[in-house]
Amino acid sequence: MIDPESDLDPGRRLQRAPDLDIRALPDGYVVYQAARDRIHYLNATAALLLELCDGTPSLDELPGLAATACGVAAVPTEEIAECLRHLLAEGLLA
Amino acid sequence: MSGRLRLATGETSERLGDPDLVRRTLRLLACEIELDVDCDRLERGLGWMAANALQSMEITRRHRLTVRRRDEGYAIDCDGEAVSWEPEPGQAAVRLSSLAHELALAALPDPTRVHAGCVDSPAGRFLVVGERGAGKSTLLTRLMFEEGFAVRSDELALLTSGVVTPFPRRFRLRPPTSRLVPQLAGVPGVLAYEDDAWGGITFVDPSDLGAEWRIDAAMVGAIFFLVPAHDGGSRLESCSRVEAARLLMTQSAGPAGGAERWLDDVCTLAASSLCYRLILGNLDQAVDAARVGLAPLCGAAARQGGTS
Repeated sequence: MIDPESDLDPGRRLQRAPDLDIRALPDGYVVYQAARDRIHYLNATAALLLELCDGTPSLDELPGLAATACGVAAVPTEEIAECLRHLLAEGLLA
Repeated sequence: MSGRLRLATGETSERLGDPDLVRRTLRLLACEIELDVDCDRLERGLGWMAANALQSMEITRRHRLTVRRRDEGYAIDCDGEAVSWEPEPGQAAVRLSSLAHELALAALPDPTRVHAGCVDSPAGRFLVVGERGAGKSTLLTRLMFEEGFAVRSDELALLTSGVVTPFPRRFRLRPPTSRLVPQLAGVPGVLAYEDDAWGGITFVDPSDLGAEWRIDAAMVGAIFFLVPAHDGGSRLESCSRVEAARLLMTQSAGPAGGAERWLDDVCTLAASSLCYRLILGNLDQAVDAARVGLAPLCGAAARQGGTS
C-alpha cells in the first residue's frame, strides 16, 4: 500500500500507471482506470504532471518542468506536491 | 371489421376483431408499438403516452403490447409473452409507458442516455441537465413561451458520438411548474392524468402549446447544468470541461458497450460545447442567464448563416 506522505522523496522518479485510458479535454484529463473500474477527473495541473511523469525526471525537477510547460516563472510547489500525493494515492502514478 | 379513429393526440387507434380490444399505434424513434387494450378506463387514460412529434428516423422494429383485464388486475404481454401483471389501471399505465420506452431504446444502436432537456434555439441546440426536481421542466417551459425556443424533450436526450437526439416523450409538468408558468393555464389539449401512480402530473405536448415538436439528431452547442436555489436569485457560472464531463457522467447512463464508449460520448460532448452552471432561482433571471450563455453561439450561427 502506498503511503503518499512518505513517498515524495525528491530523488524519486515516478511513472504513469499502465493501462490508463485517457481522454484529453481543453482544461484537463478524464482518465478511466480499468483495473479499478474508476474514472478520475484531473485538472490541468494534475494532467500535466501525469504527462511529465514518464520515469525520467526526479520529483525535485518537476516544479521547473511544470513552470516551463505552463510558461510561468514558477508553479507553487505545494500545489504540485498535493497533486502528486493524489495521483499516487489513486494509483495513477507509481 | 375494424374501424379507424383519429384521436385528438394525433396517434391512430382502431377497434380490432376482438370487440373488447382497442389498438393505439405509437411511434417512438425507430420503434413502432401497437398497444392493444381491452379496458376502456385504462385505454382512455393512455392519451398521455402519445408522442405526437414529427419523427424522421426509419422504423426498424415493431412490437405489440397487449393489456387484458384478468384475475382482478391487468395482464400485460409483449409480443405474445407475459411480462407483467398490475393490480390497478394506473400502475398498468405506468408499466406500459416504461415498457414502451424500453422497447424504443432497445431499437437504437445503444446510445448514452443523458438526463437532460433538449432545446433548439436560433443559436443552436443546447441541453439543460439536472436532477429530478432541479427545475428543468419549469425553465424549459418558460424558455418556450418567453424566448420562442423549440423544446424537444424535457427529460431524456440520447447521445452518440457528440450528436444528440431528444427522446419523444410528453413533457411531465408537476404542480410547481404549472404554478410558475402562468401561460399553461387554460391551454387546450393539455392532458392531466389524475391517479395515485402519477400524483396529478400534467402531460404536455409542444403541439398543444402551438409549437412544432420535431425530433431529429443534431450537434449541441451549449450545456447548462442546473443547480437549484429555488428561493434565491439566478446566475450563470462558467464550468470547466472536465467538470462538465463529471457532471454528465453523474446524470447519464452509459451504453451496454461499456465505460469506454460512455466516456467517448460524454467527453466528445463536453469538449465541443460551451459549459455552464446555472444557479436556478428566480426564473426571469434564469431566462436572462440562458440568453447570455447562448450569446457566443449566436455569432457563430450568424456567421454560418452568412456563408451558407
